[in-house]
Amino acid sequence: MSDFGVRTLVFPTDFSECSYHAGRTAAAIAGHFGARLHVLHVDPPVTAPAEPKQLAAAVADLGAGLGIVTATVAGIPARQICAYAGRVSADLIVMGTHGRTGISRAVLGSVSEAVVRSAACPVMTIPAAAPAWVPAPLVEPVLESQCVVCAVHSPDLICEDCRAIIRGEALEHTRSAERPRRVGLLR
Amino acid sequence: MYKRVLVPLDGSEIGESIMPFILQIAGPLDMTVVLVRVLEPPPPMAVEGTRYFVPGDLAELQRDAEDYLAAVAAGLRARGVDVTWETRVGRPDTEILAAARSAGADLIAMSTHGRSGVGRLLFGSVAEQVLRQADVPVFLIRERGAVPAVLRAGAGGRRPRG
Repeated sequence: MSDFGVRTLVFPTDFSECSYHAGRTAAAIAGHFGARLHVLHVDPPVTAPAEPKQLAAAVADLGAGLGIVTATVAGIPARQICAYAGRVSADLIVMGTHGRTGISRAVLGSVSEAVVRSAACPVMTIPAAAPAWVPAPLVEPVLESQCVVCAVHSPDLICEDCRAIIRGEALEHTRSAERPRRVGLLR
Repeated sequence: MYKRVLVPLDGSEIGESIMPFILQIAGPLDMTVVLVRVLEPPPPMAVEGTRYFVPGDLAELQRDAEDYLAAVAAGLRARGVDVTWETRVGRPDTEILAAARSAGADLIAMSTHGRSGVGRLLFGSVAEQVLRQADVPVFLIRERGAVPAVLRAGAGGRRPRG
């Protein structure tokens, strides 16, 4: 069974609402696994190329503290996305789906479907309706703690007094448990 | 955080190629794994030389699927993954989506046979149908170079019942 970890993540964006949505999930996953996030934009043929500041804005939305690489390539989106993922040996592609069906899907095609069909790595598709992936917050250590035995204010789980009592009781117990055995040995 | 991941399995090795993901992502992230296997009712068969038809044996398929899912679930449980399973009867894509809804899954993880060209036209792709209709994220692994069990010499498509 091969190892599956996420070290390099590719997030292709067309600057649409649904890829914005997918970007948040991509950033959360990258953050969770400490993966490098490649934000890729593909300029489709015929259309005017996107302005560089659009990509910069899309990256700025993803939040700080991530290793982000941006790239813009021109060509057929699905093919370029797969080629790029192959070049950076991506472990995962996270992308949004417009969820087109019927005629618009037949005419416009679905980039995500084409990517799924030819990508060498796993692909995660995020529908526009799906809630963004938010990692569970880390549990912060409670600063104001109480002793679990007597509920007195204490930085320790069990306060000093209670610990002494417990220790004393434990000692008493072992002593009483050991005594008859020793007597037995002496006889 | 994703809480419940639906994993559709079709009993093939390709279907099982999603397992590394489950073990290394879903397990450590404390996701509950819901395995589902969708059975397509077998078509009735004509008894040769007669006018009689024998209905397909769904119960047998059901038993096979249950054995299979129970075995996979036991394997996952042994590795500390929280797992449940169910079988459904119907069209794979609709049943997978229905299972995701009824289980309250917030992620669907599956592998795809990655058919293209004629194969895709003939058989379609369940994964693609799911991906198109799902309203939750879909995690897809495409098994490249895996030979479907039915095409392998000397190996039946069905796995032995255990």
